[in-house]
Amino acid sequence: MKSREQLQEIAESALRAVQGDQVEVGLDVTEMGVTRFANSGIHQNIARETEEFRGRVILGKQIGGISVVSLDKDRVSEGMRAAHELAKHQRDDPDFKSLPESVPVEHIDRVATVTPEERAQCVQDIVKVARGNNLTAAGVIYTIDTTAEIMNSLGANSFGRTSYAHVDATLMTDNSSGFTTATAKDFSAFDGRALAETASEKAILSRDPVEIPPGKYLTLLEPPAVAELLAFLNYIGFGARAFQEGSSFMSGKIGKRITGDKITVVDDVNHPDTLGFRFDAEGVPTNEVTLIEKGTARNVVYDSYYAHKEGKPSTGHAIEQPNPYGPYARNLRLLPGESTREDMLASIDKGILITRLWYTRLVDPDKTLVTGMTRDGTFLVENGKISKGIKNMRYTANILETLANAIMISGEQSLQWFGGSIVPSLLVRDFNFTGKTEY
Amino acid sequence: MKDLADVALDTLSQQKATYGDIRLIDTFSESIQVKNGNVTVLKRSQERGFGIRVIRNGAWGFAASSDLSRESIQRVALLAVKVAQASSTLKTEDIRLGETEKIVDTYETPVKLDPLAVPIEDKIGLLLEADEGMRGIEGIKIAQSKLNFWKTKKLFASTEGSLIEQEIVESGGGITATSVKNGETGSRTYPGFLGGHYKTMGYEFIDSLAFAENAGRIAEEAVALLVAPEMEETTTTVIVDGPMVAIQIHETVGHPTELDRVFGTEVSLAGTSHLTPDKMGNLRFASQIVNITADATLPGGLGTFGYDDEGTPAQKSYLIREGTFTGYLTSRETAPLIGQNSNGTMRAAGWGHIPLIRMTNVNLEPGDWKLEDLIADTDEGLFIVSPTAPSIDDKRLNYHVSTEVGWRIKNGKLAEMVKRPSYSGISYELWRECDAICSRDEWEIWGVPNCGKGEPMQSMHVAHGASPARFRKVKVGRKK
Repeated sequence: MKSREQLQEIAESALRAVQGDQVEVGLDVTEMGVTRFANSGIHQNIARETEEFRGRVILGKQIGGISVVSLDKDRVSEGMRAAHELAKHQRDDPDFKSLPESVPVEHIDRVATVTPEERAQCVQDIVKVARGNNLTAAGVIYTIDTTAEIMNSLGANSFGRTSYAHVDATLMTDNSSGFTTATAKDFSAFDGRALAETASEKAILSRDPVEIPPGKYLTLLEPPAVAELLAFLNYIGFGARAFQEGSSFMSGKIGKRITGDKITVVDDVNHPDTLGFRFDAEGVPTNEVTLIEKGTARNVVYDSYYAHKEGKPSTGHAIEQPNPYGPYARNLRLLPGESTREDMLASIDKGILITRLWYTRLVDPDKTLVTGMTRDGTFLVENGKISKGIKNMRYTANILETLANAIMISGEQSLQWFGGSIVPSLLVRDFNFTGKTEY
Repeated sequence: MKDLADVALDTLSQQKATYGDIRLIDTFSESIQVKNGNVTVLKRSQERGFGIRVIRNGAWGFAASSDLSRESIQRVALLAVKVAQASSTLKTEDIRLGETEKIVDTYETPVKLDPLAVPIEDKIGLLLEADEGMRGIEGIKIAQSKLNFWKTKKLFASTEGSLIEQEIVESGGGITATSVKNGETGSRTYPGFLGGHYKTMGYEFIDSLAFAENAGRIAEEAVALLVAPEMEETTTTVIVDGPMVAIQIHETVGHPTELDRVFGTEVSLAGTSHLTPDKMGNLRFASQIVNITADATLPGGLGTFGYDDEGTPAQKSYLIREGTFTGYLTSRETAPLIGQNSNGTMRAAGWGHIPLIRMTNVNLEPGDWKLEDLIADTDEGLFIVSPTAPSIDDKRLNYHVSTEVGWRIKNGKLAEMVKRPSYSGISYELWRECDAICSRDEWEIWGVPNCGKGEPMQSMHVAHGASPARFRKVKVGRKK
């Protein structure tokens, strides 16, 4: 892994390689290990190291972009010259004002190298629980160590090094399955055995699932399901691009109630569990932004381009440039309530518990309407207790309405891999199931 | 490149690997995007790297790097062996690959006009013309257009002696018009397949797309969508266009016939399949007029190549023949488990990924109808075009497709427009109700540049040959 000094030297030489009015370069070095397991054995196992740079060269209001998978100095210089050449052929973008002028940021986490043997040991811990319960195990372990340097000709100079790790485990009987997941900065935080016990319990509890008719049910959404809904809300409209275009559910609604008063959503870069760097792809420090406060729309997130259009400062939410998507909230957090899982279950006379959702897709973005399936642990809850597993069902739900229908929110929250958000469980009224499947 | 490959293969042989291969890949790409008269993205990329796959102690290992020095290749080959050793501590059984021929060959996409050699100004001009055409229609708030090009050089070398060099060229793009009013939006795309249309062709494909000629039409439809009613929930006859058929094939036939997921190796993300081997040859999956093939040899398809990433030649095979489920997409590891040889579908999304079983060009073979005759032959129903998003369960049974627009069919004629009609049901029940397929005159190979599978996610380029088709008794719309 290259040192900060080495990365800065490459970045500085990249800035010197061309004579643009403004120049930006971003360097990434990533080492990733991924171990997948299925049928209770490891079947795919990879180690990958990537060095990459991205550059933007600006001539007046003409912008050329380049990305090259290499940090070789000659190839970096060659790439920057290619971006310069593209800029010369570009048209003016009248909405472009300037690259950001930003204070330097340094974000360095403790990083421990994780070996293939350590990942294999975690899989063995999971498989041991599976075999002990006559179940089959499948899943994945990711370990990622990444370093980034962002520099521009206006003085931005941000450096970061961090790591993150992730485990999914699905344990299966011949007609049911149970899922568990964990994501953290530090791989050593994972207890494969404990994770497997959770998945095992769900798989066994949902054995021989019964069919129930589609309809509206009181439903307990566990954190992976909540994170999936929140990720789609983010995709539709927490960024300034959709907000300014008028296609976001936040457009024209700032200061107005858009969902239930129990719901507060922030982009919380300062939460200790949050992943990634505390600066964005333009090197701008990421601010904490309140998006929805007690059901009322408050703010969206900005990069420098869309911030300039409103005469505002960037909130530090740029993704890799240039891109057609605009800024993105990377550290969503749905604030917790005070209920325990036991309280939430106890309050259900008849309802459904969803472990996770699957293949959620937009049906109507104007209505924040999505559809998808349940998966890997869907249960009927009766008289305050999980009574039996049920066959998977299709749901079709308006996300803002679903959040407004939350009657209890758990105090416990967890970081989720899908969408990278920190979320609690939600107990919601009238969650809308619209179809069924055969298992 | 050959000498670098030898460094890897020599190292693997010294490490007593049962099998090993290396793929050295160099991809140039270009992306141009225009929005509301501004060129918002003008970017070129180059990805160069290698991936080494090895079987040692009966288990797979894989390591990859973007550093192409000889020292790096030797080090990464040893890392791949180390990863395989870690895998072998928890293997289910020893990996065995099906027999293959040693192949030394080259393949190149036939290209008339190198897309990366076409002047940038010409490409920008094409997009700006379409952009103006869309924004010339009152009510259009967002006009977007894009072009994407890839040129990929791949070298595959294995310890079995194969040495294959390929150059694949891909071109494509699309335009989107969006109207916005009072919190409602209406969007239409052209050519109408998930925001773009892509082929293994040169710039001559872009010349054939006629963006500007279609810009005004889709913009008018996008504005009309603002006041179009939604489709009420009902069960009716549905005629879908080629892109809709393509997305149906993708989700309900392509993915469930991937033999790796059938054997459970994609459980942790994509899931499994209801098309288990006991059903092969005897499940009535579709009506008798339905024939679905996987054909990597079709000229121009985004799933067209010379050899897959295991060195198996491109080929054609039947997945559904006269309505019966008859075959899978297979690999050297999975095909022997059903008594077959690989039909050449293993591909990786770049140097840093392992090959997985991926769709090639998975096609609904054409029938003999004309679309206008098909509509005229339908008393009542819905004509639906342009999918936006599919959703399906993890065994590929319960599907749902969201779309851009539909028109009611009344007495054999297109009538009122409806906004974003969706339809859903059980996949084989849909295909069993297919009673008419349009002819080769209306058959097109629709490219999908972003088929997702695997962990880490691999975004693959695949395609589906399809023409419009009719399905009876389809559940459309949703309850108010």
